[in-house]
Amino acid sequence: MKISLKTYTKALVIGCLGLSVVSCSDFLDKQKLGQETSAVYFNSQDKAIHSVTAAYSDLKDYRFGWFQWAFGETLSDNAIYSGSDGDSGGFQPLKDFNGTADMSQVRYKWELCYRGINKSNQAIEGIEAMNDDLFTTPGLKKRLIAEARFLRAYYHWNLVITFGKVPIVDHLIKTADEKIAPSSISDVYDFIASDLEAAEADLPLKSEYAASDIGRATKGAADAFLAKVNLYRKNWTDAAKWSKKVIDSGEYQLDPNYAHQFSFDGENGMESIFEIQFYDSPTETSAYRNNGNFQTLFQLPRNITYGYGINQPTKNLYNAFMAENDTVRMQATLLDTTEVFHNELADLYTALDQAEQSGDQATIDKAKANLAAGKTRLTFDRTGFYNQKIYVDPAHRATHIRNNGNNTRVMRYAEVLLMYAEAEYHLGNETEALAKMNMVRERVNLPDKSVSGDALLQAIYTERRLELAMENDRYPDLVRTGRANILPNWTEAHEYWPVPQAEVDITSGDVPQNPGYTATGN
Amino acid sequence: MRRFLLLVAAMMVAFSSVAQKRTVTGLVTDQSGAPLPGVNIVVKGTTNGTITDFDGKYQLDAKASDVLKFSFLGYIPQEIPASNSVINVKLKEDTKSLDEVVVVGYGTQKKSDITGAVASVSADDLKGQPVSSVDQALQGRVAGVQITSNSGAPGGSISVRVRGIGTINNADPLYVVDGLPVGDINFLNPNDIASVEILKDASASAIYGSRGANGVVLITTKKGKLNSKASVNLDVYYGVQKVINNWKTTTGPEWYQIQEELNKTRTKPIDLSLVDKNQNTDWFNAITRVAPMQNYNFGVTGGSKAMTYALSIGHLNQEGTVEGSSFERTTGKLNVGYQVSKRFKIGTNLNIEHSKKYSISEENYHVGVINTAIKIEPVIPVWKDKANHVYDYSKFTDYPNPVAAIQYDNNHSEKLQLVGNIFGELELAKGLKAKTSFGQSSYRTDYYNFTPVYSVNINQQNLVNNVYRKYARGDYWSWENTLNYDAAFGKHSLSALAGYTMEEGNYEWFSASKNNIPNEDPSMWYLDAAADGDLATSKESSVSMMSFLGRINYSYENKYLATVNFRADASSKFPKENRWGYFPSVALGWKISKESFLENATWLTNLKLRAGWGQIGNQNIGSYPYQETMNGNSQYRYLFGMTPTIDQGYVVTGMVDQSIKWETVESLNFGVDASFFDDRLQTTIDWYNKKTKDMLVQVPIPYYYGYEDGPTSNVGSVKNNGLEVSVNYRDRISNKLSYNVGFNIATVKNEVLSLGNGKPIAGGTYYGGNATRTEEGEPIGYFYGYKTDGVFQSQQEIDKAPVQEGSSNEDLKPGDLKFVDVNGDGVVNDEDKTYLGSPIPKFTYGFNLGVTYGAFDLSAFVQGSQGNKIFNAMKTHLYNFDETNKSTDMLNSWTPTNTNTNMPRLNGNDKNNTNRTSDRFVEDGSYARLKNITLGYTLPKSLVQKAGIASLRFYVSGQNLVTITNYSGADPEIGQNATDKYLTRGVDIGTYPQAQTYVFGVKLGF
Repeated sequence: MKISLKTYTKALVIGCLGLSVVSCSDFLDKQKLGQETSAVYFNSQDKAIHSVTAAYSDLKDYRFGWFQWAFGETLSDNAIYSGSDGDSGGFQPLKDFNGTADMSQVRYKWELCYRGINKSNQAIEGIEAMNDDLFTTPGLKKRLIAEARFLRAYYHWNLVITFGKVPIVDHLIKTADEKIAPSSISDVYDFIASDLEAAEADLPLKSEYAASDIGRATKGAADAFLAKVNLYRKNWTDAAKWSKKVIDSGEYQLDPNYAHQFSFDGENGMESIFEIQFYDSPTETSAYRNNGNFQTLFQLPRNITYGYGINQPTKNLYNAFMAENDTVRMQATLLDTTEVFHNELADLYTALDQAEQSGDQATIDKAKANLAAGKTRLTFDRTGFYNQKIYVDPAHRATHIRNNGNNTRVMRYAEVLLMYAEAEYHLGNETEALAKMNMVRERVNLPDKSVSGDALLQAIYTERRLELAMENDRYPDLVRTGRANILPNWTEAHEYWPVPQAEVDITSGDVPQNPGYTATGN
Repeated sequence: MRRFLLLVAAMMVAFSSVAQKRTVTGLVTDQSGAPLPGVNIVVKGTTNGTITDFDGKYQLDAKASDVLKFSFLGYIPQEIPASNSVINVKLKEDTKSLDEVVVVGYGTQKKSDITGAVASVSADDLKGQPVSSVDQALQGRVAGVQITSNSGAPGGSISVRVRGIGTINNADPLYVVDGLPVGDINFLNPNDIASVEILKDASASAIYGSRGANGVVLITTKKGKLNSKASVNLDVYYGVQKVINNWKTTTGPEWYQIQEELNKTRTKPIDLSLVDKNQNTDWFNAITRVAPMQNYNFGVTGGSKAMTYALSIGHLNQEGTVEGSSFERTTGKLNVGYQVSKRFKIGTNLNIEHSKKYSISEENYHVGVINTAIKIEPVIPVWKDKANHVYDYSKFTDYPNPVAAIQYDNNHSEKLQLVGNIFGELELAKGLKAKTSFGQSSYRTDYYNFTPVYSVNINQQNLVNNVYRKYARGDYWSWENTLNYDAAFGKHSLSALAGYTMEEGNYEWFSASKNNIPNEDPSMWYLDAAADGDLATSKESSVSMMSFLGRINYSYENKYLATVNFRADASSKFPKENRWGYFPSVALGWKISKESFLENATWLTNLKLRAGWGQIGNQNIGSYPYQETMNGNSQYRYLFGMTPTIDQGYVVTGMVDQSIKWETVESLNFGVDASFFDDRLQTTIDWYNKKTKDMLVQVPIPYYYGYEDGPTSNVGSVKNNGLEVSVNYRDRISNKLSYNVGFNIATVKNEVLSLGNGKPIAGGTYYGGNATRTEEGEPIGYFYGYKTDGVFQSQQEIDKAPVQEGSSNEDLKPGDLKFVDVNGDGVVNDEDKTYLGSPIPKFTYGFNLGVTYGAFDLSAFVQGSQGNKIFNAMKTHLYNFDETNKSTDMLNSWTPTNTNTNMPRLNGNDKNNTNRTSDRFVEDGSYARLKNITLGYTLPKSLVQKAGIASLRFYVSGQNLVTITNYSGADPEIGQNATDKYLTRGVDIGTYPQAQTYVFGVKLGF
């Protein structure tokens, strides 16, 4: 092998030149492979859509859904936490209105709402900065921003009813040194209303969406929530105005069959204004990744199904139905233990029937024994009732435990009618109030009421309870209307949950603990 | 240094004047008769001299009265009167280590001129240990380098920590093999190593800049020598390994007795009729075996006038002491150097490795194989029906049968790795050399797994079979260009280095799995055969770096030494503004023994003082730490449409600090090298203080920010300091008897100075929570939990005691464990958790002894660690009041008649949370281990030469024969739970224990 020195020297010189030619930054600029950076992401309409999708995704997170009912129903007279002793005991401090700041439940509620807010802000700011030309229509860009603003308002609303004073996050936080102090409750409501008003202006009606876009926030949803938010801040005029707008839109009507709207067939139906969408997708099964409704798993009867038997309706709720003779809604809301056995042990009942027909006593005894044994599988049944509205019968139940596809109903037309009735009552229009309330009653075959004054208001309250039972409205509704003192151990000091201790700690007290709770959360 | 001498010699020739002289010629060889080129020959007292040529020949004019001085680096100089005109000289090799040449990064230096903290280990020190990796062989050899096996599995990972733990992040040192930086050295056959140098302080490692912070391990592989006969070596050993297991767990009847007692207080007693009280399964025994190990090495080294070569092939086959684990490796190596012309040299170093590894589940604290073998009940038989292959299972827990788990796990990997470089070196002018070297390191790893359909019970079953396949590749190249200049001017001598390098690495893996393979024959364990459940994922990254480096070594009168290093690194890992990092260092040395006032101290051979300071970096922090990425995790999907369709959302979930930069370590080192009595006694003492600044810590962010993870920022700081001493003594008492003894010891004090605004970091996850904590003012990853103080002996004692758990002590009874109210507020709660010990030893040490007596040679080596604690997480099961296996300590539980004990009463209705993370589980992890003892016998040359054999040696060797420890687990060598779980150090979740190995070997030379 002979390499002349000249050749070698030449190679070396070329090499050195090569180095100076290959500019340093070209050689050292490494794009992240396999993952887009936020700096380049917002460059197409599809990506804008996907960004809004992420903002919706927290609705589907089981930890978000968990504290919809655990806060909305379990804290109230409608339900108890139930489940195993561990499940039940773990929630008991909250049920006793003596929750502590270090409880993970408290943190989950806070954390998940803010995650949704952050994702909404990423979508809003990312899409706002996009060139209009990137969208097929200018309306689509506006709509996507409006959807994200609706979600941002909805997450803030969840926070304010749970924690009271909370930080308003109305922009994207980019560096770790930013500080936002909690705002007053009325400021939070003002912010929510302004976001919803901005959103409703740009959101399409439900009927204007393509079938493939069902499930997105609509103008009707924004209007209905504007009504609700104004109801909560006792702005009766605006509550009436926005609920009237929903009614006048002609987009919605009561489902003649009350129970039907909670079935798979009734999803996103004529009465539905906003639902959290779930789907029995075969590809995801883990707790965070699945597309099914984890809340169904929580609430199915324990052991006799794969459920945990949590959030059991109370006898108190049953009595409330019975006091009004309201069997239609009672049956659509409550699943009693006997029904559970008939649904879950259908084959054993059939076997018993067949045995009885055969007349063979040994076979009958055996079938009876089998049925009795089957019934013992139901454990921790603490009230005798389960939530029929979320129950999925064995024939429709997903094979995988977290994959039941039933949607969570968030806002229905019946509630809009009742909000309108309540607002009109406060504005002095009792006739209008009575008419809308009776519409809701008529649908479930209950006779019209003809009351006035406080009796009318109480009748509307009762109607709300029965109509919306187990739909995660009861506890904040009691607080809103000043009736929460009917709950055992309730104190106004603990009307809101404590701020998660971790948040107080991380912010070094810039987000202070709620009054009524000590710094260590006792 | 060799270059330096050549230069001096050349200058001498140039300036010599010619007098009345005649020509002297001759041949200079080594002891074996091989010619030595480059030997320096000077007429004593003059500047007249020459050097030998490539054939070892020389020619010189000298007067008959002159004396010729022959000197050559590494050989003992000789002075011979020039009375003859032909003078042939045999030079003797100089074994004095101070004249050794030490590799220091982009060059070499005479050991006596070293100013930094550099430890050097030769092949001789490493040989003989039956271990698969170089790291393992280094354990205990170097003061200040703590080496711990994370697992005793064959081919298992090893953590190497140079001078404490410099960061809560990756603190692995940089490995450089024959000049090429590599990620790890598992591909190297220990038999191929010529020497290992460890650059411990910044003044030595700053030449590696942004990668030097955790120390640099420089490995030089064996090379041939010019003009040497081919030497052929065959080394074969065979051995058996036996697992070390000191767990003291109950027998079946003992377990049963404890459970009967617990049942008395349980609200729901367990149904003991489900098990046979007299069944006694030793599960640990059931998963372990006596495992063979065999190793073959074949090598040829040698050189001609212009060429050197070293070629070797090795094969290792090691079964694990736990069933289902094994490691098989074949290595090939070729090092070639060729002197093209007087001024131009080329060469290559090539390594090829293929390995195959079967592994078991280890890192899981719930279902890890060893973990479950320790905690599963002894009353359960392995088999329900062995003939029909039906396994039995735990009747009370959901832990899997570990024997079945091993059988149904077919996890294995095969790796092919190529590491090598080619280089050319040109002498541009006298003393000035240019070198360019291109290196490449590439690996391809194939992972295979197949999970058959099986059902042990409901907790251990797989209803759909699954085939898994993963492919990973890494390709890294490096181009280094350096200029070296050596010169001497009068009393000054100078050596300078300048260089630039470019490096790039591309890495990728993808994995795929599918379900439902119609039949489970191994020939069908391929994705192709599976029907559905397709799942594929991948990850890829690319990094690059560009650097300028420089070094100046200066010495005055060979007494005063100075070294200055500088490196500038620009890395793609950082944003443009922070891309360049600058790493300077300076070190000074003073050879006091060369001063006139010590010249007459004959007992003192050498005494040198050293001081060094430098700044170095750590960039082991992921490939794209500053880039904010869109997360397309399936969690961020949502559904739209009457017929639901999934839309994948994209969102930023982790905040990123755009101004992220390197972690910087600033270190200060003071050292003394001294040798006495003609170098028979050598000692090195170093004191260091090392401070990591800008340590990357994940900054906690308020939840209201709405991100899942806060940014990682340069906000932390850690300090390590310590003292290192090593002493060696060697002597030859007679021709037959020689010996050497050595000792090294190193202390380390580790302290986290700051985590920025960061809160304490919990680590060391085990089934009961977190065992470690990292916070300001304490060592990294110290053990954190409750303190206990024996058991309550009386009701009065309970009534007076602080509230132990919950709101009152009303549920407590005498015999319950007593927790300490550290802050004295009357309640034992989270705020009473405190420091329970540190996994970092107070000091580590090694002791070695070698004796040669005639044909016999004996070496022994002891290594140990003192003052470190272990969190025995397995004991949290073994002490629990549950159904798992129990420690025999439970037999000594408190009862009204057995009160002199620290074991609380057996309580099946424990309201005291007795087994919370506490000092009950923190044990002294100190140990002293007879790491290796080897006895060899070399047959007399006269005997073997008749058979055409140059040398023949038989040896027996034992590894880990004796371990002295108080630790109650299997073995006290507990590293991290996984290579990337840095804060799990010293947490024993069922670590794969080390093995005792007994080996017999033969070494044959031709």
